Amino acid sequence: MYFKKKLRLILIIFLFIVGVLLSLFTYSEKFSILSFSYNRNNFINFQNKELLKGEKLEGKFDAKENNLGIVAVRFNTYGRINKDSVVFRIKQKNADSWYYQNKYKTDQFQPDDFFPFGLPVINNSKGKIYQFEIESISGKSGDAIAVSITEPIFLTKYQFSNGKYSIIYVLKKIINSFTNIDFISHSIIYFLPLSFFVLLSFLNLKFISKLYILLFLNFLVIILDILAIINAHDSGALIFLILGFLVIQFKYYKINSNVLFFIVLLFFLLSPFLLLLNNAIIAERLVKWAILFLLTALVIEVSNPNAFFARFKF
Amino acid sequence: MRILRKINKNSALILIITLVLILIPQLLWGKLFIVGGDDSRLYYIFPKQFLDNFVFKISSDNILGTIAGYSPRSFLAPVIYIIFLLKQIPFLNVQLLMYGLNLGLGFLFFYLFLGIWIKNNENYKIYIKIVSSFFYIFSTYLINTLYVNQLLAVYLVFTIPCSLYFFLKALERKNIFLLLLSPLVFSIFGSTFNTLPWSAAAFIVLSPVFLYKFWEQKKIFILYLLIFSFVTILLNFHWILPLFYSYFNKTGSVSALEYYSSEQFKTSSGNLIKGVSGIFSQLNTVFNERDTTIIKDFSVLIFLKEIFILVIVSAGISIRKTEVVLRKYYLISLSCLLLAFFFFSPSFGNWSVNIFIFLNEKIPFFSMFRNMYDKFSFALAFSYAFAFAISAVIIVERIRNKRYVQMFLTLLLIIIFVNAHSFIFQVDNNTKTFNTISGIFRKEFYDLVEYTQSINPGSRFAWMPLNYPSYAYMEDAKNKGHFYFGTSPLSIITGKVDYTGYLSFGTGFDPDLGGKIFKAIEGKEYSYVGKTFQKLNINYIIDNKEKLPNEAKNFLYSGNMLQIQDKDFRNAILGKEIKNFGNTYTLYEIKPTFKSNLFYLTDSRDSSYDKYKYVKFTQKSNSEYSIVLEHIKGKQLLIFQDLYNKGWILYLNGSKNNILYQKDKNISLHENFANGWFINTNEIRKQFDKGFYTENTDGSINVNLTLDLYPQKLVYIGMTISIITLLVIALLEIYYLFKNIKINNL
Repeated sequence: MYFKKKLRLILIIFLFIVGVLLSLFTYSEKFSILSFSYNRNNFINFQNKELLKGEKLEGKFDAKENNLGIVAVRFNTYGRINKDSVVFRIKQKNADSWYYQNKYKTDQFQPDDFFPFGLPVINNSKGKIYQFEIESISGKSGDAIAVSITEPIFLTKYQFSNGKYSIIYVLKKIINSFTNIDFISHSIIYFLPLSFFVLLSFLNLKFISKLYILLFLNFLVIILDILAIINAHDSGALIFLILGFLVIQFKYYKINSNVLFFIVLLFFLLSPFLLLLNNAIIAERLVKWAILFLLTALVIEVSNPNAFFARFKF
Repeated sequence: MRILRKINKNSALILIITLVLILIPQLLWGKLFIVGGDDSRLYYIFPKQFLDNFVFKISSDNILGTIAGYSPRSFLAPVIYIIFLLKQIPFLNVQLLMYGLNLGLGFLFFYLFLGIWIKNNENYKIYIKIVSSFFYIFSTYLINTLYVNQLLAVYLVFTIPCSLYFFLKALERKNIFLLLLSPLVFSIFGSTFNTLPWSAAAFIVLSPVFLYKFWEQKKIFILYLLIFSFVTILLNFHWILPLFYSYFNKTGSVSALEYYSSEQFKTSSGNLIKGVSGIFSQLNTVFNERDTTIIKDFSVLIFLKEIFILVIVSAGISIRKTEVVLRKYYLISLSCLLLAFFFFSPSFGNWSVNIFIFLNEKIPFFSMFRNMYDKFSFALAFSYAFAFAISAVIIVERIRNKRYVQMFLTLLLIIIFVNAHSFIFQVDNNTKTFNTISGIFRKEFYDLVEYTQSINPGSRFAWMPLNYPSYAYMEDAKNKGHFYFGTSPLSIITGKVDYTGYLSFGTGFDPDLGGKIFKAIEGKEYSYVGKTFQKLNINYIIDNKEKLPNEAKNFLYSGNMLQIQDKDFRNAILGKEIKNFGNTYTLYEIKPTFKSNLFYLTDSRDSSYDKYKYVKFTQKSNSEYSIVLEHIKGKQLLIFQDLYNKGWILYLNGSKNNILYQKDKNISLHENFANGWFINTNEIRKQFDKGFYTENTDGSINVNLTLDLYPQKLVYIGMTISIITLLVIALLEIYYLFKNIKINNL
């Protein structure tokens, strides 16, 4: 009994460390960078509309650290490739001239994603207020970008590249990461194994029932993703884990693959109604999972020796 | 009569549909040619000139609008030759005839392809095959890609199902004669290298079909695949040989293979993949809609178009109750469809984009799929219709009352035709006036063409004003306001090389030359522009005063591109006016200070331009020149002002036995552009008899040289092999027919 408890504790610690490590290492931001987020209030003239030729977006922020190197702005591309270019300028508030400016083509902007405007690193930026401008060069209606309405709208990033990280920096980094909403939503999925394990280990159930609960939890992750509460679909490892687990479950319990086809059909039937109700994000995720289920059903069928390989000559 | 007796009611129906589809463009699309764009599509109007002046050339000036050069273009020859033959039919617009044949034969061969999978000709199966074939040729993924661009890749709509049908049918019947038709069709109509991104995408998506066939008939499949590959290589030897020669011998110019496999191209492709992989979502694939505004413009029709995927999924529900063979076919077609979904829009999450980027980095030439939503569109259309056909059969087999089936299939046909009506009737085509012409230009243009032909060879032309996409434009003679608007037709019609704008100047050694020229124009550094023109051997300027609509102008000139080509620029560049052509075109010489010659002699590589001495020459062809060197003494540098390539051979007195310089022996790149060889009179005296040169009293010599491009020979060698292969196949097929071996169920 004691041994079991000890093993359980070790597993909990292990899964926690795995969660932290996977969160940190799979997040696209480097360990040497601290980033801070800002919302629409930091824009002087925020407008939820296309940025047309000659129009400018102006923003300001107070630098939280030294070594300011990037201002990353989240853009709305309207789901198309825009041919416009924008000029990004930045200077310390009340400075006479711009510290840095550069031209960027908007065809590289990702929908609702941050575009990093790099600048020569400002070593002593901490505590100073900076203002920046984004000006459209040739934007016209139907061929222009806008600033996204998804918060946070922009980030400032500070580079620490000397390779020597103090304990204070590591702590700062961890706190900084866990105050970043993107990071939190990204890391939730890596803490799911821990959550499931804790939940199951404290429930006094038979093994078979636990497997059913795991199947249920599997679908719970999918539903949370579809409802845009978590972003599980962005993690390839997790997707294949879930789908692989589904295949094993279906094979183990000899569940007919037509259950999956039926779910797919249901998802496909639901999606147009969600679109009509302006729930495009959920509709899109529903369809993505439906296609992934189709793949799962295909794998189940192909791996069924009686079904697929029946008449092959070996 | 015997054939007619064999045609039953259903076959007659298929033939009638095929015929109607062939006639659609002739009857509904007007009488004009649809031309312009990056490959000009002028081969429908000038096929002979294309064959004479363009496709078999392998010199520096064989790429429309640019001088990237030295790449073979003969893969275009077979299909252009077919166009040339069909053009002999009077009263028909050959382009519309070709498009009609593509639609009709695309339908017919997709129907036949489905016949391999859906056996027994019950009526409902025939109707499903017909509906599926319509679903294929009128697919939204074709209407918005291949049918819009109308490049030669459009003929894959017919070529791929036809070639695939012959291959699979040959496997089924173990018939080598049928197999030979497969590479033949693919090589003639597929314009192979030109359409590789689309056909390779189809191959990837249809890989489950090949895998299945391999598993079923391992030995014969491998044998037939080897024969197919071998015959395809032989039939395409005319471009494969020079292409691989330039790739493996590093001839100096960046070959197409080298360019597409370069790290630089891979990196830029990777960035593009990140940018475009999310343009289309999986909603587009499920709703059969290739419009990025699907969410905003969601309509009843889009809603109805979901019915095709619903049929496919519904078939999955009853798959366990279906016969094993059909179940297997269902899984194969579903695999193809899922592959197509993934590659068309890798937007499942970050992981799917990363997989695409990984493939781009690790698999050679995978970067050709960088704009995957275009390249995989054809494969998606094909696999969608294939999966739909198999699924429909599975479902319909379970419905007893076939009247419901008929009603359902009719509904599907209505959806297909409503979706395709704008394509079938060519409505909402706003760009019509820019790209539809009668095929006859105004007299001024023909006068210009005639005059340029009379100008001595070796000089190049530039159009003014220069524009960004490097397009030439000229108004139609019979339809006011209709323009040809695309890469310049001058090189196709006359064989003369011309520059039209920004993109046309870039070379493999200096890709941003166009940018440098425009920067110099903006900065009023006109002497840089003039000297660059001199380097490029531009001696004549065509001033184009054609008045264009504003939309066309906006497309051609971004920013201040037009304004900076002002009076000062013209005064700095234009020399003597040679001739005015009806106030539309005026031909000028370039300013005398910027005049140039194709061949020069100079003392050293560092000599300035003003010390260059003109050399007399005659151009025998684009790959052969006769050069006369008079009164040369000591060691001098012969400069050939054409894009650098190590494939040139220099020999004396027109005899290939007297080689002065073998290929690969020219000097390294001169002035970032030209070729050169040191002519040492002492060496010539030592190496050759007195009969090969004449001596002058001052100790100098006169010598006649011939400059010959070696890779051009490879085109001819390859062509001979390809033609022999073609003749052998033709003879074998004739033998097959005359031996009265029955080809049933074709």
